[in-house]
Amino acid sequence: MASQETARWKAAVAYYLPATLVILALLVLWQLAVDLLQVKQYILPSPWSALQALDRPSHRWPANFLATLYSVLGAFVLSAVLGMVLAVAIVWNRLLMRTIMPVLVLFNTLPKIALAPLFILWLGYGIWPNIVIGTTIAFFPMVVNTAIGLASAEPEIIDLVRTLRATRWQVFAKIRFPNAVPYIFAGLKLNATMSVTGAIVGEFVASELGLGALIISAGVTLETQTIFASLMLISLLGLALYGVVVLAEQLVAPWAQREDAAI
Amino acid sequence: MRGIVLALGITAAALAASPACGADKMTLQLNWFHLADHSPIYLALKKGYYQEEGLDLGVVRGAGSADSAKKIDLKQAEVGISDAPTVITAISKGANLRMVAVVFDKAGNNAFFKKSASIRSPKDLVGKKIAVPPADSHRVLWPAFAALNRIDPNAVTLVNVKPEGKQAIVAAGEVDASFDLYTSYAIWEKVLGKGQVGHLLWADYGLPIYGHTYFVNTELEQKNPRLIQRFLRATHKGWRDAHANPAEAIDAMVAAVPGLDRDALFNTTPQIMDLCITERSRQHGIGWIEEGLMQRTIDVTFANNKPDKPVKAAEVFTNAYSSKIKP
Repeated sequence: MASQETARWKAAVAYYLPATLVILALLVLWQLAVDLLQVKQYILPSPWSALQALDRPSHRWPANFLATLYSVLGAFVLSAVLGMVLAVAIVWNRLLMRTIMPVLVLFNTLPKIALAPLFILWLGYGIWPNIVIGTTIAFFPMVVNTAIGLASAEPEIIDLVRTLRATRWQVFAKIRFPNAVPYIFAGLKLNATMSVTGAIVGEFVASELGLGALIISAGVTLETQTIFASLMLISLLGLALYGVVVLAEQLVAPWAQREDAAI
Repeated sequence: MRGIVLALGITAAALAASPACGADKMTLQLNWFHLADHSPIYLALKKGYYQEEGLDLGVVRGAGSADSAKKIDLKQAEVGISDAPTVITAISKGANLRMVAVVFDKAGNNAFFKKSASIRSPKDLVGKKIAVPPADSHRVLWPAFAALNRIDPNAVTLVNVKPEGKQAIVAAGEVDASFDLYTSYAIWEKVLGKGQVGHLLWADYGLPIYGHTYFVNTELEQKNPRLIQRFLRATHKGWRDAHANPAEAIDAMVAAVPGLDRDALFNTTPQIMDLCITERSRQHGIGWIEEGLMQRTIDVTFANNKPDKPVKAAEVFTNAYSSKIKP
């Protein structure tokens, strides 16, 4: 067992090592470029000076980070639930599909940032409005992926269980839904990154706290190091959430994993 | 032979008729989307003042004073508009910039609120929530303004809000006030209602500093100082004519830029002219910069933030290209 676990970890390290090395190389290149080309820090700070900005207590990093974290997690959960519910409705009933899908596409194409004054009027500002704005941006891929997964169960299997007098609900629960699991996780992976984007958009629209709010106020005073430090934290947040989805997929549906994926 | 002469003549006439023929191309980077204080530029364009100076001027919409400061430092445009504290901050961070004329001779920094909000002086802002758009100079100046009025700057909650949303968030009661330039008064009246708008102009409460300015990259000063002089001459003719006939300036801008609300912009012109054309303009010419007031602007800018590099007034501005055109 122990040797199996060790082998898994070795495989995981081998899998992620190239990407880690590439990211580190890019950071080194960035640092060298800023230093050698003497780029002004307020135009493009070096990674080191951006990291140093994390040491400024006046930026209230923990409070701002937590505000964004709550918005991201809220948007992720709400868009995942909403996305799956809408996908089930669409696949369950053809009339609903013909009715709901065009409306969803229309809504998804609207630039949410242009609706900012309306969002403020209807929702005010704060973590809950940011969750709602983040959800409006992140939910659509969840709907599409889940719907495709539910609809793409093999017709022969469905015909077979129908001949065995399976109810509509049984077909859904025992055939369509298990078939959709890999697609749902694909949707959740997209959702993970888009929830982060969506929450930050919400903070750009109106906010008192959050990494997005910090980016805005740092931009005014040309504190570009702070902007980049915020962007680093936002990227790490997105990566961490994505990693959680990958781990969940491994635990819930290991059979859905690709053969070459170590984790 | 006659055909060749005719062809040459037509070509020469076509070239002479072309407005860009021989003209120096230059770009003006605005600080924000088109507002009434940009209308004199469009009046000058309409009347051909830039053409007379041999300039082919392009105007680019802005995304905040900080953004236009960066763009001029990166030489993405020849002239920019930005508020003085932001240009000063950029210079202290190593930007190669110089202010060559003021737009607002008196800064229009201001707070707007519902008249019913019981705010009569800066001290009444304590404990309140105040909306501040991104890239807004009020954030830079607030600590200094607060200190001048003996208020703890952290005693208010600054709420980030997109500029299109600031009136909505005050009207909805989500915040108590918003920092916004005094020149937006008419737009606030449109949302809150006539006679329902309260305001505190910071210049009336101890903050008489310079506001928006025209500024350039110092490299342009070395390479082509006459370009700056020609630009200011044409622009200040536009300002002179706009001061005499604001409606004509607004109409010129509305004709050139789609999607603008003509009446809302025109209604802000009294406040704009009040801030831009002062005794200094009448005495020295439009856009003239006074060293003492610029030094005060520097002192206020860095009152609560140590500059990356100390700057003196003489380094950050020049009147060498002043048009000396009076209103």
